[in-house]
Amino acid sequence: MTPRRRLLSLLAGLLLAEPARADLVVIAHPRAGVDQLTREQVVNIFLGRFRQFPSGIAAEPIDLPPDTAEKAAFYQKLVGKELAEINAYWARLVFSGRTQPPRQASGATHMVELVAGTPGAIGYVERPKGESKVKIVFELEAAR
Amino acid sequence: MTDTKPPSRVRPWAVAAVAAVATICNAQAAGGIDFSGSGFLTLAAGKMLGGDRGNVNDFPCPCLAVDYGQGGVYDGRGGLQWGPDSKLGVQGSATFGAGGNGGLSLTGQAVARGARGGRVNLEWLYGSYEINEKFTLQAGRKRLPLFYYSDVQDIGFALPWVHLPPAVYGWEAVNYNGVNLLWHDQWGHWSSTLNLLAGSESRRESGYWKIYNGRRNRTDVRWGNIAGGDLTLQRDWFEARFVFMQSTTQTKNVSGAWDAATQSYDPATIDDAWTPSPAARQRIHGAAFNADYRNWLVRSEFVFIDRPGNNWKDFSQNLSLGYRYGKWQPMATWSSYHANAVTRQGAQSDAQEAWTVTSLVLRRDLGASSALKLQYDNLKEQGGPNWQPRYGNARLLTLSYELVF
Repeated sequence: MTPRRRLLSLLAGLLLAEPARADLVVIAHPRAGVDQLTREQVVNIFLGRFRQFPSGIAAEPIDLPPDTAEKAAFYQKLVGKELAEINAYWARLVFSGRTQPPRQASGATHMVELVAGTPGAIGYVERPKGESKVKIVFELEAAR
Repeated sequence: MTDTKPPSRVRPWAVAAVAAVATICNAQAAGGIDFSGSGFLTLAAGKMLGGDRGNVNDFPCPCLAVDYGQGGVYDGRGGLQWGPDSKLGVQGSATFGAGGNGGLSLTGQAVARGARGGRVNLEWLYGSYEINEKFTLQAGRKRLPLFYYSDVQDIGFALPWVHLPPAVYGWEAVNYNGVNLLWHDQWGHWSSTLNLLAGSESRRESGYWKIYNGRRNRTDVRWGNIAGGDLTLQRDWFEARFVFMQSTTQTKNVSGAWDAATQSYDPATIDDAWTPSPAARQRIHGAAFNADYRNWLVRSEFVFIDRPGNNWKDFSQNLSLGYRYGKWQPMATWSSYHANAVTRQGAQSDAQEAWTVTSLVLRRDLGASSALKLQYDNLKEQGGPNWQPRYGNARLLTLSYELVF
């Protein structure tokens, strides 16, 4: 391969490569009474369909702020939907009073603090490195 | 003819309260109460592309009714028409209790719509008490959940169309005052929501009856002893909803109906009292089956309304198929309505009102909370030879910008 072709190949590779995706995990309070959740259970909790852990403890989902890349990646991996579709879904539930959307954290650090400090809380973050105050209950990479 | 000046449905104190709460952006806590505000906007312009010309019920046709509940009709006037689909609404909630979650809350929603000349209506005002994670008790003024999208018929951004299929979403009452109990649960792999309700509704100057009695007609509507409920079952990408509701129904035609022969309102048709008396009963049955499978979108809804006291049966349905290409979503919809007269004045049972609408919609999401939609509707008149009012065929193009905030 000539140097010019090598350069073009490298540029094409850079342009076509998928952007790096965060390794997202679903985290819960250590005393939520669950070790693992299924995708169906996580969907039910975050889409307001049924907010209870299999242990019987009420689940309180926590979301990241709107328009954050992690939030978009979470819903894309969980249900294959764009944020606009998720917002349209919530508009139907919120404006009808059927259920309330997840409580909102200000960022990933706040998310971990809220989950660690709220019994029944459940959220999502990039996979924590080392010891953590929260329990990983679902891995999104294997979700779909 | 009596003075037909429309009665005001605005309750200034309530609208002011809702607007004040709604202007507080993002949730704010004060004295143990969390306030939150939100809103929605649909700015839509439509142009009639063609159809049957003539003056029908005081409307310069061709005509296409897109919002029966509010009397929203695109007609044959030249130029763009902004009124029938455009609306602006604000919603405010106050939640009492720690963290703003659960417990007791108060919610109000006020909407100004072009179909009602920009007047502001208080659509929702209800208290909600979350008994536990499964049960919620609500009381006040709410939307009557007759159809799948009834709760959000004003929230354009939440809908896949510019306007809901009028064949299904066309009825005389859209709200009610009463109580309802929500029950969220998990049945095996299915998540379920059961909503049971009871109440009543009085509607002055019904938009629905303007379509049947005339553009400037005033007909009041009364539904009593409303009782029923809806059940929603969801599993992964599939959702089914069933509804059953019954009530009594009466109308009072205050201004008389449009007389095509004289091109005026006929005082002989004015009702001095609620008719029929005693009130007629009606039973509403509905089912919706929806799917969001990968990029495919399916919406279907079937409604049967039995009005034995009025000797009518109504049948309506719609079926939609769409596909999601990133931020684009094209969708095709077929919907139809027909009425059967059971014994009325010896009329032919199947020679009554009937029509179908074929619609194509292209949605483009502009961001996470706003969208543009372009919709083409083709209405085919299929009513019996004696059916009046006969609006005829119509072809309509509508463009909308929709936002939630």
